[in-house]
Amino acid sequence: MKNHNVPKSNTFKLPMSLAKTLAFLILIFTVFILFSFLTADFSFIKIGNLNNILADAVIPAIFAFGMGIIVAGSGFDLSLGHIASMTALITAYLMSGGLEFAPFAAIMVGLITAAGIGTVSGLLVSRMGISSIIVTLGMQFLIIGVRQIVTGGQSVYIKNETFKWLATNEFGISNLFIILVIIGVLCYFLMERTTFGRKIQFIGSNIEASRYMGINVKNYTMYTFILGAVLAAFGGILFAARAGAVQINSVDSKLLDAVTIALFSYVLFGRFKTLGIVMVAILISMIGTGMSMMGIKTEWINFIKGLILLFSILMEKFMNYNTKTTLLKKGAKNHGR
Amino acid sequence: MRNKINKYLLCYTMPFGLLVLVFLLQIIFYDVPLFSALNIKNMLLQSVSIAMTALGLSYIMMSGEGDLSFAGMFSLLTVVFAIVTNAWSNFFIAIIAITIIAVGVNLMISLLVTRLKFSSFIVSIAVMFMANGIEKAFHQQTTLINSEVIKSFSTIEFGLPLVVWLMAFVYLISYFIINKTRFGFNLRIVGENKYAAIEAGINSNKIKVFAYIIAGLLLALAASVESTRVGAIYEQGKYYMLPVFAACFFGSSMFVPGRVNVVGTLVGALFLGIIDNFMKMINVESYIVPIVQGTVLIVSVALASVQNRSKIVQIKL
Repeated sequence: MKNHNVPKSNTFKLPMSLAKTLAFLILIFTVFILFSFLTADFSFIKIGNLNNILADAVIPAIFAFGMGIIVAGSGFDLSLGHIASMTALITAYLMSGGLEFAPFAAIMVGLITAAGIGTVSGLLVSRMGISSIIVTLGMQFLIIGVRQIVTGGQSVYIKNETFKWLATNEFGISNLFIILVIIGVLCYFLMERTTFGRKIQFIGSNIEASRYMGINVKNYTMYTFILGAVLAAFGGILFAARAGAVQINSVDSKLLDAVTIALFSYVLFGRFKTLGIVMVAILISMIGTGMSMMGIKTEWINFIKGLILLFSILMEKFMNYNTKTTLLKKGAKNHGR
Repeated sequence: MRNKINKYLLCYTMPFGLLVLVFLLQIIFYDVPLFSALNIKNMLLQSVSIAMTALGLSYIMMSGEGDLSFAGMFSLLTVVFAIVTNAWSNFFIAIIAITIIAVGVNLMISLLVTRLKFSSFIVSIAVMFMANGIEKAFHQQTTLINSEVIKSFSTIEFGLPLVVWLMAFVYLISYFIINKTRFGFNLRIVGENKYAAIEAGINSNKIKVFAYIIAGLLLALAASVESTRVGAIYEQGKYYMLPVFAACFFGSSMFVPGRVNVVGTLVGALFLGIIDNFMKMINVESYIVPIVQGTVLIVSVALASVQNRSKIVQIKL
């Protein structure tokens, strides 16, 4: 999975990561050109539509940041969508009704709830030695039950204009995209420029070695789940601001986006890469918008996203074919000892 | 002697504890007829499809892989079954169609996993979402089966309903295959230690493909049973994801501790059925049911993995 190809010769070579980024930009551009010719009278490249594509990419990208951090530590979280739904519901509920919280306070309460859920699943994974898929599957059902108590299954409408401002077009470009840039920069520094992020990625690539290095493996595994839950919750809150109303299960299905984007970026770059996640999110949002403009039923887009997920793994296998096969052969010869 | 006693305690505390728990429930809620013949029959009938799917998953988990695809495939298969039977009103065409679909998809997954070394969880998640997408594209609500003849399959009784006998038969065969044949022995070795399997000259790829195919057959059977009983319900498979997983992990905490086994899966599925049935009978609020199910899953897995809790289980992609 990890790709540590360092160019050995003295001749100039593009760094692998940069080359991949450029290749991916070309892919995005190709898809863009393709769709602008396929849609009727070039409606795909109207400014409003492009802004829409960017805004559509934001919420999946923030989910994928959360998922990407968890995946970087070699965990997996099936409950991200449900956490986000519950947070959006709680935030909307606190602001409406008889409670009338200020938006900031409501968002804070939502994020703290999500952090609590993340802590519980992180503790179960790191301290009890349960597979993270099982823990988060159980957590998913716990959340389905608990969130029913909050509003009794009713959907909540948001009237607070300050909160809705989060998803408006204030500066010509969608506010959501500016928020994405801020969160992206934060994630970039946290995961790629600090020891904290490095340690998480190191645990993901080799847990035994990182334990011998003196990294507190259990705590760092737990932190990935907390961070993932908080980021997903933030995505859910932004969704609420954009939609203006929250149903009880409105964000559940965003899990597919999170998984697809995070894994695509992860297999492409071999590690957590913020820019990669944003690029994949834009690509997938582009494909979704383009296909629905071509008149394909929205249900099939889910199918296509699943195909993209499979395709991304296939691509990784072919890209790392040489290093991978030699490693496999070596393992097969002495049976992995 | 002491070792032997410890071993028996480890193997049989859990099922005994569950039995005591069920009796306690009966004593506390004494006005609920938990052990009446009608109730037991209903409970068995409800847990047939979960138990069969869980058996299929057990085969896959015994071979050391994981699977989530059944959550999407299950509802897709029930829909196909309902639509085909309503169109041609022929039981056999429908069951052949869904068997081909289920086995084909599982064969594809197994080939991706064994030949191209894909991570089985990721592949199955992708397949789950793809199946959900297809199901959404041509099905939005409940489809009931019109033909009275096919519906009557779930009501034929020889003491117990026919499908319950079918379940018992499938479990008996599986117990025999896993514990008494060479294939079952190889399957368990491949799941337990793949390097030992290589040393012993076992073709682990072949074994895994067979495990996936058997799982596909069982999934098709479970889907047809569910479809004849209640019809095809939109996104029903989602709600089967947890009970099926819980049954398998529950099973791995008893009889052969730490490993998925056939009898354990059956006991786990039946216990979940009893709990589900019990909650329906005392009329709890609907939100309690998923909470209880989630708690049961987490507690059961914690019990199963309590021996090696210092080790963090990682999912390698």
